[in-house]
Amino acid sequence: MRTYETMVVIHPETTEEQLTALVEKFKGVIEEDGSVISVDDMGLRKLAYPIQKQPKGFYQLFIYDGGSSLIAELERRLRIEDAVMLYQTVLHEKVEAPAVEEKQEEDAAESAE
Amino acid sequence: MAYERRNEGGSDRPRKPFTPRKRYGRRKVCRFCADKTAVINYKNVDVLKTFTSERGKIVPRRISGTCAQHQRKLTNAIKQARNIALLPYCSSHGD
Repeated sequence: MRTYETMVVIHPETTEEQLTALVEKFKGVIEEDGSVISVDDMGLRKLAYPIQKQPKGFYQLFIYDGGSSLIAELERRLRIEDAVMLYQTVLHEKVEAPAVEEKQEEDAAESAE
Repeated sequence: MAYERRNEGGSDRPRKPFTPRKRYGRRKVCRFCADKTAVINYKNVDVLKTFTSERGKIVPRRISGTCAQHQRKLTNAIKQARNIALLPYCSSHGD
């Protein structure tokens, strides 16, 4: 079980209800075989190049644990969905920098006292 | 002979077709080695944008001064960002 993240770009003309419905649907797909860690709504953003002639899109980021078969299934579902314009699945990198910084700040505070 | 030979007694070496550039005196430090807080990820577009040219091309390592390891990570991150439309492939995509 590895941690993956999938970024999905959704058509800008989807309403909010449709958007939440889609997000719930994909969460359900992930939950079947894995566990969702977080869903990040990055909102409407301007695309670097037009996709399906649209200049903007809704960005959603799913971070989850799962097996490789889960990814295949999720991408299959994403491909079927009309509102989804782009998707990309990547291995999730653990960011350890903030923890190290906090520790250094604590050490500095202790030595100051 | 119209000109004097440089090396006498040695082989007749042809002159260099171009004058060698002066050496890059300044040795830039890799930004990511110096400052560990900056994370190379396809999501931080601001960081990645500083390593692409005006036309959207990836800046070579000898110009940006990054070390080999980070340049490879950077390249991957930029390509992933391009894939998901966070960065452009070229400067004008045309409508």
